[in-house]
Amino acid sequence: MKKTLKILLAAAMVAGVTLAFVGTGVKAVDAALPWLCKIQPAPTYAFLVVLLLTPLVGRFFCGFLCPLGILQSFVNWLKEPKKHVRRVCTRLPETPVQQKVRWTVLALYVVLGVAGFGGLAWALTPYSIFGKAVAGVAGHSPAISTKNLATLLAVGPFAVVMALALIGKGRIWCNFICPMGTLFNLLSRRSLLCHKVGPGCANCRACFPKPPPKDAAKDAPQDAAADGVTRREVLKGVALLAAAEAVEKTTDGGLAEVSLPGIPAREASVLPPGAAPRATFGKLCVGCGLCIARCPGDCLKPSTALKTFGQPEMDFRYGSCRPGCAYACAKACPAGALRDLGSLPKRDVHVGYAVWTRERCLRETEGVPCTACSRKCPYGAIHLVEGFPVVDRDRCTGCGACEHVCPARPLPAIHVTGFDRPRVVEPMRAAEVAAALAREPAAGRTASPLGRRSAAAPRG
Amino acid sequence: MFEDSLRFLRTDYIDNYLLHAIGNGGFEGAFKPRYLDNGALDWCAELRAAGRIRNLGFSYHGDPKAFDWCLAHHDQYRWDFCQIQMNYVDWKHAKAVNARNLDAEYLYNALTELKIPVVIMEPLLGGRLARYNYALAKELAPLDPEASLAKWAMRFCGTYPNVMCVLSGMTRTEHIRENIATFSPLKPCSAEELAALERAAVAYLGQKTIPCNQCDYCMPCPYGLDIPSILTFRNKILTAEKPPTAKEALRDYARAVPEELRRADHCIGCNRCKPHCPQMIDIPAELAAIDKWIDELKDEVLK
Repeated sequence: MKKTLKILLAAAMVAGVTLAFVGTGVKAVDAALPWLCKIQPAPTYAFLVVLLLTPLVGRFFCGFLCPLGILQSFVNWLKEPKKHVRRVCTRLPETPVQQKVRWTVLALYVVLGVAGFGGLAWALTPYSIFGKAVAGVAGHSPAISTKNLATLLAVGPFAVVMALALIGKGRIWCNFICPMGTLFNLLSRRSLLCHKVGPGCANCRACFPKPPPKDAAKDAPQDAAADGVTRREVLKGVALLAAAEAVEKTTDGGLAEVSLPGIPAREASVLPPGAAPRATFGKLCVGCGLCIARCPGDCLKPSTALKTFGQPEMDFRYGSCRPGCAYACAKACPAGALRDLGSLPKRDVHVGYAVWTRERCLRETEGVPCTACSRKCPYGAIHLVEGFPVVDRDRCTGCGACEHVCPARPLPAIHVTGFDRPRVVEPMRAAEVAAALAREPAAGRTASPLGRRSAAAPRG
Repeated sequence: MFEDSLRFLRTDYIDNYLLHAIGNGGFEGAFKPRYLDNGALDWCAELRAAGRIRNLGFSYHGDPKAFDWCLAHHDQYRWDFCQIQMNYVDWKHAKAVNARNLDAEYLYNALTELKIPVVIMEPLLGGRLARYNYALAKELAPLDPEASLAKWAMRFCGTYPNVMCVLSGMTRTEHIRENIATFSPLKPCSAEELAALERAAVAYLGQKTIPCNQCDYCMPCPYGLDIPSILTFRNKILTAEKPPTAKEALRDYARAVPEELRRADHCIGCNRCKPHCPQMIDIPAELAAIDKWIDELKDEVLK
């Protein structure tokens, strides 16, 4: 009975967190599910509570709340349904190798975090690994559900953890690597509700599953073979996809070929609206990809840069930040890296601004009177003056609609460059403008009254 | 050119020789220099006298002056037939479809008065009167629930005694089978039925569909857009019984134009398609309007 309850609770947790990414279609449920993610390892108060409870009740997080941990047990069970495997034990003395590895990983986590590589540091934590994989496989973002490096980076770590659980005994990841597991271990040394080991324990490890009959040397090539199979399968899949694409091209009849644009080199990457200032954002964001999975505009992708690894950045190849979206990304964010700006209209939140590159524009390369960027701008910020797109930076929010529809290939001729912190631009009321104008000397040397509170006048 | 035609057709005479779309390009701009000033029309009349053309006719689209001129000179040229665009929408409402068109009723009556047999083109308005449309079905189905919408349109044309032939683009065997069945023998429309067809025509015009016949002349769009699919999708929504929800419409859009890069938002407004459209649709403007509507739907879904 107790065991069934345990299993049900664990299954519900995995399902809940997964559904937070996949979405249920029921608005109230979708709004509530990200709360399950808040108790996961992330800079949240909910997780702080988990940490504070650990000295009392032990590593309950690992057993009941951590989807990555639960799935490892599931894999263990699949492999040997009959065997009881002691999955996480905090009391048994650890082997020297185990200690070395896990303390190294925890140190790495801390060092990376302190050194400003927040994305990489968090990528070592279980929720981030699980989230990346779910967002990569089941999320809606086309940026990570097509074959590319981002998908591999998103799903790879999860696959490795599961492979370890399959190959090894018990939860290898939790017991040997997970920096959170090490932290929990540290905290739960004297916990009250935990498996107790009597004074007579000689560390015989009889309670552990028997070691495999083969020796380590024999194991190694087996591992390599298992790895090889997966790699081959991945390659096969890629080849199949490529073949499907080739067939499509020969049969599409009267349609001109279309290709995705490349990602332009931005002066600075573009953060989602509501993001904390770039440095803080880098520390807070755990890179779980929940915002990416929830973005209705398909305009977020996980970064592949070292400093911001796995953290979201705007990618306008598949869509743009929709004016009608009320910060779905921020509403989902469990880590507080994205903040819900509530009723603030999208036109008043600027995440960057558009930059036109003359030599890529169809006007220059093909002499075509293209109007795409100007027509598509939801905020009327791109004016065609004598045929040239001129960006009104007071209005441009950096939503990327222009970049998304720009027909120039391989790189778009208009692209967004990001601010280090999203700027909130509150429009001045008409009366206020009139008053400001009245105060202004006719040929004054001061800046335009509109510029006073306008944060949308970025400097170089 | 005529000699070439004979050679290609491997014949020494032609049954029906047609000057096509005489009003296109205007009376002064095209008809006069093309047929009158160079004596081409007189030459055709001579060929007919010589028996190398058995029947001489013209088809009309565009400038009314060309049509009127031809009828005014019927004594001289004795037209053996004339091809006009006729269907139950164009009968009284041709102007609503295209400002340059003349009502089929006027054309038919003028021709009948001179006893010139009529050949009909576009009896189904490029298929738009054959495809399911709630507004049409609502008026017509109660009178004859088993008849297809295409049959109704064909019967309308066949009702008029001076109609010699109804030309319809048939792509499938069942189209041919159905059309043959409709005309063998044809049951002319009663006054009640004609009234229903007129009501259907008014309802059809009220839908403000885009007059795209999916002829593909605009294709390929150099920027990869699937123009006919986008416009047809829009028409499908406009001709439905009730407007779909935003979610349904977006789903249908994704189905109609599966590749995101081929959808309306990627129109760059270069206008290269515009001169190719025989229906003179302002394609970039229509695409921009559709894109705006799609954006509204997307925002609605987010609410």
